[in-house]
Amino acid sequence: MTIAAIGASAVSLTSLPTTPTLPSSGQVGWTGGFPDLPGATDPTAAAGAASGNAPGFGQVLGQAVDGLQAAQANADRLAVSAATGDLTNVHDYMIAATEASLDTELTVAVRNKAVDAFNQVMNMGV
Amino acid sequence: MLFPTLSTAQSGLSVFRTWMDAVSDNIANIDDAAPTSGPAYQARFVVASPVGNGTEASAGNPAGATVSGITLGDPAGREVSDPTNPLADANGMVRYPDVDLGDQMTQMMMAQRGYEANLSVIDRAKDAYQQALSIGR
Amino acid sequence: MIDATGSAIQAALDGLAARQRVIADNVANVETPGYIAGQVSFEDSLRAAIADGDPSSTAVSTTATTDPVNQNGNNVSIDNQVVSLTDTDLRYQTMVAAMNEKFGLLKTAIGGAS
Repeated sequence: MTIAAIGASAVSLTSLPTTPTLPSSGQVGWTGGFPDLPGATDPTAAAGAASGNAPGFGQVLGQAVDGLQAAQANADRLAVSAATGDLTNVHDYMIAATEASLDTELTVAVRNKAVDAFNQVMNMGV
Repeated sequence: MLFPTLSTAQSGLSVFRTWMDAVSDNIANIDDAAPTSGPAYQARFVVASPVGNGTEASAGNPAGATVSGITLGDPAGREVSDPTNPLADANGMVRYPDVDLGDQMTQMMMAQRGYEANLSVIDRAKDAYQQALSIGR
Repeated sequence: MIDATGSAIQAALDGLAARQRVIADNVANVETPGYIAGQVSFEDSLRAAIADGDPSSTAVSTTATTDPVNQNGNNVSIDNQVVSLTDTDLRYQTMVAAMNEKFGLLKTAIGGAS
């Protein structure tokens, strides 16, 4: 790769993307708003289940964990019926076990990311 | 049984084996002479019937076939003139069984094919169940 | 680290292994005069033990079969033994898969990201 000679720029300055407009004087902070995250609402309504909004992030986590317990209980129930020879379709148990395993991995991954985010916040300089 | 197809095929195996046993019994006794005063060897016929009500098999609902009974053939048999036979009566007649060797050999082949077909069902079902066991691996 | 379900799976594995040994014994003696085939039963005991809450108290019992005997006095039916062996084999694989899944869940939870 040849290095461009000094003074002869290979990239035209006019082709660079324009910089975003900074807030005019007097305003502090970013006023463009944050893009909507899935399941995210106004942070002041985090526990707004009764208000009929989309569930807050805390509730999404809670639903995943509740679903995990039900999935594991279902897989356990089918495993016991397979052990006593009462299960007719073995694929029922294999599907339930795979579901429970994936739910567990999801919950663990969410927990790990949440812990990482918390640690990042705690390590921020004041 | 955890895998109902296997128990269905097992019932089929036992029906066809019973059929083969009956045919071999008939062939072994095909030349049994008997005096005309009594019955001749009666051919064995296997009566098979389905098990359950024909819906799919489950752990508590068996399907397949069973031998519901063995019926006996005609006791009169064939009367053959054989004066030198020690069992011959005053007219020189003895009874032989009413068993046709060609018919029995045909039945033997059908029983063998049915037996092999059920073995193939067991083999295929075993492969299918093993594939099911690898879900999520 | 093994809960009630894992203990039930373990009891089933014990029963199935015993059944496999008895089937091998029967097949080896298919021509032995006077030999009566054996059969292993543990499912009813396991069901009762699970209902009682202690699956490890399952009893694996071996009894003689009541099939009719042939001229040799031998009552081993090779068809039944082969099908029973296939079924035992598949159920053993299912139970091993179940045990692996149970331990896999624990490993995922302990180890964090899998």
